[in-house]
Amino acid sequence: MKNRIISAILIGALAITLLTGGALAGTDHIKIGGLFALTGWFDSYDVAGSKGFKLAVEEINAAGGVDGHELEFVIYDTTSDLQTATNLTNKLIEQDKVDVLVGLNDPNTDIACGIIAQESGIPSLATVSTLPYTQERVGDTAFLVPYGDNVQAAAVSEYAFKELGVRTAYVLTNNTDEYTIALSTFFQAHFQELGGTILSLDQGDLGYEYDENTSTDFSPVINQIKALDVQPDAVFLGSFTDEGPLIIKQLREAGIDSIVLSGDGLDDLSVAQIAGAASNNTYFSTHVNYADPVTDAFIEAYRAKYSEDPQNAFAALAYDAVYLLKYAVEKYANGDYSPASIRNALAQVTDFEGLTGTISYANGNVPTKTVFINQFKDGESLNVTSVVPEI
Amino acid sequence: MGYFTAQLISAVKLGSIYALVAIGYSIVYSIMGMINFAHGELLMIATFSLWVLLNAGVPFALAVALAILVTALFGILIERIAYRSIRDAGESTQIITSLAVSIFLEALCQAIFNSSSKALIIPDFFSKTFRILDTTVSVIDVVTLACTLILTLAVVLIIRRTAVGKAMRAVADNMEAADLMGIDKNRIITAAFVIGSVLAAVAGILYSGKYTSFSNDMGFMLGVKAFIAAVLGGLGSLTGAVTGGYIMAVLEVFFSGYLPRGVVSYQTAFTFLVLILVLLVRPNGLFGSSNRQRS
Repeated sequence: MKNRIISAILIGALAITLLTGGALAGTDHIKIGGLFALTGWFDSYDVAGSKGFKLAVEEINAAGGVDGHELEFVIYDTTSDLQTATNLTNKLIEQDKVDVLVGLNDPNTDIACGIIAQESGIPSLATVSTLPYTQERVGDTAFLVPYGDNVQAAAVSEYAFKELGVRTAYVLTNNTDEYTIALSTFFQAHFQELGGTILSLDQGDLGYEYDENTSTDFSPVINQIKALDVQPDAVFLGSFTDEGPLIIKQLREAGIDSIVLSGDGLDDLSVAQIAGAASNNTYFSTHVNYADPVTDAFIEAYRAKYSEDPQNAFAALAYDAVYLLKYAVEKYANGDYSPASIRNALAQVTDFEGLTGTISYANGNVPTKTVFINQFKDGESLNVTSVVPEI
Repeated sequence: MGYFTAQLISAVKLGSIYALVAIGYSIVYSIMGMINFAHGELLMIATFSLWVLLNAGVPFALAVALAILVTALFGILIERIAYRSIRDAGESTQIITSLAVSIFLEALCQAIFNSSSKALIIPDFFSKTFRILDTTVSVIDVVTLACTLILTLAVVLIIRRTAVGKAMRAVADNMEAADLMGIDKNRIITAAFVIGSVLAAVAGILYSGKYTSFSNDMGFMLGVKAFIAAVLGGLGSLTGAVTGGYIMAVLEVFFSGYLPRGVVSYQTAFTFLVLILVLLVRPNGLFGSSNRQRS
């Protein structure tokens, strides 16, 4: 009899602990799910991103957390594979019970995972995808930390047309990803609006289209360019870091000295390392100016933690994503840390000052930010100017 | 005319690499009757070995020699550990095992060196360019073509003129009979893997040297294309492998150079379509024989 009573008390105590524990887990802290490609073709962007992400979480927790609550996080490696990424999204939502997703790779992955998150009402903050119509494709829980491709393509074409005197351009497009397709589409449209001429329209709507999985040798299209009566002022690449430097190097070896233009897909120091001196006349859009004193504290902390410089802007974007979350929650969530409340808080963000510029979601979930134009110079990525494009 | 020759020279440059890799597939197939899908990963091993050695400060020529040696050792090890015990286990077992070896090596390489693209910096001399018939050719393109011709000739001579070559032909004809005649078939098969690995190593180094960039998955697509080239030429035929490599490159380059607007982005599909048509007419490839008996 005595044993039974003790058992009953113990079971009761256990039940109460479980119930309160369960209740606490739902409201009192924020858990972030990080989806980064730590291996595979997308890793050049996301390894740096995951480092920026972890640095921000550690800094925030060391300084007292968000509203006094520690940020929890889980990071999974999507292996740059869409199927793996969607499986992990389900796992993060169902098993890890995260309140918000950060990272989400390229637009193909961002949209697929974003849709799963949307169904559960979990907000997602994309740190690399720049697809401007993400909200239309996914829904109101999908936010971009960077600007959209329409903005960066406009900035690059304006800079090239007005500052570099580019009047003719030949376009090469990786046709396997939403990003590269969108980038080339917007570049062509804006460049023509400015009065420029696209020389590659006889090749296709997006110039010379290639599949990066099967192309290492670009000599067929390089021969096409060389056969033109007048060489283009610029060659525009709708490319990623995997094949971008190969194209640049092969262009220069063939003696084509046109300016090379591209978007943030080329933003990684590996491009300058692989293409070497051939990359010197390459201009591309990016999200941050690491020479700006605003980023000094970040770079110092990053160096201290990882013994290297940030290799691209995606480190700063992922870092901004976490601080943006803190800003939104502290300012607009009123102590309610449910996914729905976090989404509503994010949607109200106005004038959040990050390393990568000012973020407002007042006019939709893609912020309009300043575009930085960088140039590769002797293995380094140097800021040349910043543009607020007229679109 | 200038445009045509430019594309033709591009095709020859590309075809030389395919040919080198394709001979490796063919030589192992003709001796053992097995398709070694891990062949592409030998290119990866050669490139990573060279990269590690160069980073360690080993002089270029020595590093190349050592990288080829390391690749040959891997070739021997792969045969010894993975393939020897399943030699009589049937074709499907062998194919699956070689796919497993391929995936294992690629993943192992990723675990050690991570999966991002790396730059292979070779001496400037190789990237010097000069002009032939209105197109730009670099030293490494010439070296690649020369290597392909010399190594193909060397392999043909080894097989036709040496004792080892004679033994190889005997093993290829009938492994059991050759064994009964006192030929050590294990040694002969090891020799075939060494030759295949050396060819793969040279191809891997030339390929990564030319394009500068490499990563742990470099062997896969190149391996698939070279395998198709070997099948097109006729698996087991050295002339076939070389011809197949060049045909493959010509199709790829000319389809992307000449297909009209709108369909040009399907160039790879067109290439494979032609290959399927060729195999429909000649199922054993251009130079393959149909009466090949495998034990």
